Amino acid sequence: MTGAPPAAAAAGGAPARRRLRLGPVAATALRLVLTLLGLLTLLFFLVRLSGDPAAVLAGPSATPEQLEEIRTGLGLDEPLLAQYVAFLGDVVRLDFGTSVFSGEDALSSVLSVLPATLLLVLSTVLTSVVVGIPCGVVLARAGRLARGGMGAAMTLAQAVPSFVLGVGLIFVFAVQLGWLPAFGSGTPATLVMPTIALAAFAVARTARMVAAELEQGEGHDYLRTAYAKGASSRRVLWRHALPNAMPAVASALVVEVSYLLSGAVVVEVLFAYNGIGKRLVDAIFARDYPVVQAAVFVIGVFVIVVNLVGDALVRALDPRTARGLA
Amino acid sequence: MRMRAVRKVSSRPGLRAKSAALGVASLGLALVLSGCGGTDEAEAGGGEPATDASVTIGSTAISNSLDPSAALSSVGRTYTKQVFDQLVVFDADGVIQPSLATEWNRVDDTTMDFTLRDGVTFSNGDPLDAEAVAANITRVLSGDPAYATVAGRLATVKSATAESAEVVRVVTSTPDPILLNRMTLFDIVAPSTFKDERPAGSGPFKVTGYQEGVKIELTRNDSSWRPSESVKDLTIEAIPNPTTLASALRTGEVDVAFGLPADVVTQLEGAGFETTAKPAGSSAITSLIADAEPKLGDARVREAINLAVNRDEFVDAALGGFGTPNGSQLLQEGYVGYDDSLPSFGYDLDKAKELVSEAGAEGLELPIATTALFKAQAEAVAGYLNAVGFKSEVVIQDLSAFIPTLLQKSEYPLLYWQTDYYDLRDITSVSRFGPTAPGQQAHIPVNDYQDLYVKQSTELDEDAREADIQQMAKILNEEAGVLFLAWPDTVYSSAARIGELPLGGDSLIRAEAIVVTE
Repeated sequence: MTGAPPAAAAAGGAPARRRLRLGPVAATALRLVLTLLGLLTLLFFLVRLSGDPAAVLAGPSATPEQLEEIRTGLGLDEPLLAQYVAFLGDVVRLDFGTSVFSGEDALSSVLSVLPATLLLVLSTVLTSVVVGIPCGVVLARAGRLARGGMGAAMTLAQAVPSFVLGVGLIFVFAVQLGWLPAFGSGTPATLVMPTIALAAFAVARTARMVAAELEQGEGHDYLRTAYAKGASSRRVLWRHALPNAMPAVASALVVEVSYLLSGAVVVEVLFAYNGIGKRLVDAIFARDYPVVQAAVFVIGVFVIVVNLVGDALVRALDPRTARGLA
Repeated sequence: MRMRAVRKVSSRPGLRAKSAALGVASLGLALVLSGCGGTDEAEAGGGEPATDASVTIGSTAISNSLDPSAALSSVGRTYTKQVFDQLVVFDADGVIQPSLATEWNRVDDTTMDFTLRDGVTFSNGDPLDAEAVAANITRVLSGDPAYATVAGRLATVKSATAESAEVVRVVTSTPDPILLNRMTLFDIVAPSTFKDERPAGSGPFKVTGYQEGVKIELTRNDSSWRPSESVKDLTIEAIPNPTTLASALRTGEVDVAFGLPADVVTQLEGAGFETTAKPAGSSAITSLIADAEPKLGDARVREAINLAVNRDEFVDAALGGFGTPNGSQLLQEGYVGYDDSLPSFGYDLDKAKELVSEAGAEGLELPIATTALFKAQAEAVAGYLNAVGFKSEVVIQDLSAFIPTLLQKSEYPLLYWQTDYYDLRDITSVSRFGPTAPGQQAHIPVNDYQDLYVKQSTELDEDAREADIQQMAKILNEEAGVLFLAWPDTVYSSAARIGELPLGGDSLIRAEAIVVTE
């Protein structure tokens, strides 16, 4: 869509220069693609400047000649700029090369564990919605004692790091009670503790967001009108107050999903959960460049998609945002 | 060789306290939690030996590849030792024994013939013959970077050819006195499966499942010439977090755990789990790089550094008690060139301070570079050095940055590391103290040592070679050319049903020899 801004034309000022205008979705996509390019560029140089994969391959017993031989074999003796240009060309073709260590295609290696992480993210988001919204209602509407108790619980959930919570969960549910496996992935039982460890913070944040939105909407006309028309408190809450709080909660959840994919790293390593976070950590420690780059690329693309979907979702929930009124 | 097993934690309360003090916060939490588990959690053993048992080995990392030629050093070898055979092996005492080769003889200084065992087949049914062995060596020497680690172990090997169906001839570029040692590290794969996802071996197990970086599932190879009697199914699981690994042992999800911190191992002992500890073959040392700090060229400074460390305390506190204090030489008992007559540096604070003063080295800054893995040990060393008047602190480097620091040029005068000569069980693999290339730092600035290093590496007369290595040890000792610290152990924790864990001379698990009691 192109043309002079209506306000400028109406004011009779000089005609504005014709500029290409992108729709909000295209603009967001372009911004995020540029972000991804910047991220990959930064990653490319950081990874190469911070260590030598040939050294890890060769080990401490290697001779300098062996080290040089491996470096040449991996193409690391090429000038950095030449490596970067080749890298960008490969990225466009989605060719991240093969894992230095396993010999497998790097992108396939990462994509093979993506579903496990997506499942973990999904279960965490569902938990934070299903548990967080009722907790938020309690925080906003319940009696003083219940609010105090819920507030303390939410503070605790936000204060305890997921790693520490995870260790505690393993001790209680695996070691002491024997109800759940201490580690692993691929079965519903192995999903429970990682989900709780990851969701604790998200539940608390969702609850606080819901509570804040409900409290903020207390005095609004539409609620007073609903009450005046004889609606019960419950009906006002579920039919009027909560739906109006949802756009803000949805926005927060979009941010949460983006965070979870990368934030799952600690939890995945703790529970030996075979997801993208664990694969990324393994690759970082091994200086397996191709896999690190592929993993960051996949996470970046995921964040872009989630943001686009999230923006669309928020616009659907609150059409005012599409018109720039909200 | 020393094997320790089934020690109860209550015998070393002071040790636990020191170890715990060195732990990081997260580990501290793990200790608190694991300490709440009460005692005797491990099911009592002593039942009937099982014949079709399932065993799971948990480790903080597992093999990066099912192909032994592409697998990295020690991490991968827990797997490769179960599936593949080598021409020769070290027995529990570190003596070379027949394996796929039943005989070997030197044809000349650079040629050795190996006669292969009759009737051996790979798990895919292919027969083992000389062509197969030669094909394995040729593949690794192809120059493919994927095989770099294994090719490095066969550094002197030039070629291999089949002389007959049973005899394979290996030719080296120079006379190599430790060619047999090298062959203990070389796994033989069925050539028809070189490109398969699951290469076949002739060992007691074969692969049935693999999840990259997660687990390897094995089952008994009924056609193996050294079959597993008790263990039928063997799983090797990667559990990167030590706290989770210890929990998995407690819940029975794993039967053997490798890679646990010493203090967690001690906690598990208290809960009824068994500990098998064996000298890893490596030496914990700190290199003194005179190129980075000229004062280290002064023998008084080097001696002061060696006198500053209380090695008994170091082993207890920094290694959790799993190691042997060492103040005399790199090699330990059982290795060619070990010399029990060499004097050991003791802990003498007063004399160390006196030497520091004499050398005018008070306040000398001696930062220690190391990796995160050895942070606690390096910090202990820094503490000792500060106590005698040096100024020392620890600089943590990523492994990929530390290796070039170690191999080529260091800006830090002290480097804490552990030699990894256990792979070859020979002084040759401690090449850091050998000759240097232009621009490469010397770990010991004594030409005699480096000359002897070169000489012994091609000396085929066993007595002469042993004398050379002993002379090298003497020089290093007299010059205080390195800070000697300890010989660390390899440590495993296991459930009672596993009993005493059988280990090879390379400290790796021999799963086929495990006797499970149910």
